[in-house]
Amino acid sequence: MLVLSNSMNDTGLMEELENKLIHDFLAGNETAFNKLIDKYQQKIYWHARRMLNDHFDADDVTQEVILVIYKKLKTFDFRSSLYTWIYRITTTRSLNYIKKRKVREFFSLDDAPEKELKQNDDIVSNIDNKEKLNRLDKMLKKLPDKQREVFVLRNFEEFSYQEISEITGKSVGALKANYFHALKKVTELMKDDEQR
Amino acid sequence: MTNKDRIIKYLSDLMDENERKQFLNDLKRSDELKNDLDEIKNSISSLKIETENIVDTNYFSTVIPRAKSKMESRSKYTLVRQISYALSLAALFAVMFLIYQPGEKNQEYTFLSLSDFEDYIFEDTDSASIEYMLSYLGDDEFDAAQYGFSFANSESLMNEEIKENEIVDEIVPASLYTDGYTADYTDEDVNFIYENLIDKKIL
Repeated sequence: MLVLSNSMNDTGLMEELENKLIHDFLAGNETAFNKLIDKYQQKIYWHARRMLNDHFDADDVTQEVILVIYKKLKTFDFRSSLYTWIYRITTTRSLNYIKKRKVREFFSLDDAPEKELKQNDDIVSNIDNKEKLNRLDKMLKKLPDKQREVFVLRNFEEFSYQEISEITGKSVGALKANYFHALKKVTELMKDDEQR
Repeated sequence: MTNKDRIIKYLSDLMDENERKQFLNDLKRSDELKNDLDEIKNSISSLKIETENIVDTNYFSTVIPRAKSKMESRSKYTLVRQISYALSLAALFAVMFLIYQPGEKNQEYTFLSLSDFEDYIFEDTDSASIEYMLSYLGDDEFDAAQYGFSFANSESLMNEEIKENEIVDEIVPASLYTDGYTADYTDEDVNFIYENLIDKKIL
């Protein structure tokens, strides 16, 4: 109980600090913005990375999300948490990026060979982790966008369905159904992977 | 329903209260179901990577400066792009004005051979159909519907064109037509047209 109340205090304190940083930034303090981004940039990157399955695309989206936060923070209404708000932006931007990537791929404008070569520049240096990440990237790539979205948010970011609903704007029922299909497909893919 | 389907339904929180109670009771009694549940949970957990410790931390120190320089170059680019669009638009209007001057009679035409005509116009149509169709050109009994043409279609195409013209009228107000399409637009005019193009989702 004590732990819970402490953590609740911590959450409250953190929110208060964040709100102060937002107000400071809106008053013209750029350092406050940097502090906010410092706190969230890894979460933004990893969420984008799991949605896009590619370091360079995730890097693009991370920068794009930072720009959106910079421009739109004045519209943040403090009713939802900043955490949820940033995830909403990252999810939307990632899905838009997937659409653009599909169009580019359709017209064969994507420079795939160059991308293959650049894979060595990935920020994950450890070979084991890189292999693990590649395996995950390949698996997530096989999920339809809607299923990947809910699978990533629930499984990796550990959001509740209610929170995912706030982020994506989809009903809890639809999210559960998508998660069911995603989970089914992932378990099948993992089984296939083990059998190879 | 297989064990696997029941487990996935349980993990997805799709079971109603009774189904959930039944599943939990079965779980207490069946080692097989318990093992299957553990297996699925473990395989899903194995996908998780402790992201905090595996990345090159230098990368994240570069994200904010790169994003900010992107923002600066983008705002410069936006201005250049606005001016380029305005100039291109003006050039396009000028060319159109020169080509379609009212009363102009001395137009030059490029004549195409029948095979060029087939290549350019009826790319996806087989040559037998084209020859048959061409043999009926000018004939009142030509059955247009047989080739997928219809007056209803042509009417809708015409309406579409009228609609497009209306959109252009909205985008470029009549006051800017004064010296034809070659009028010197002020920055304000350019901004007005640009904003309109954005609003209409043309750009």
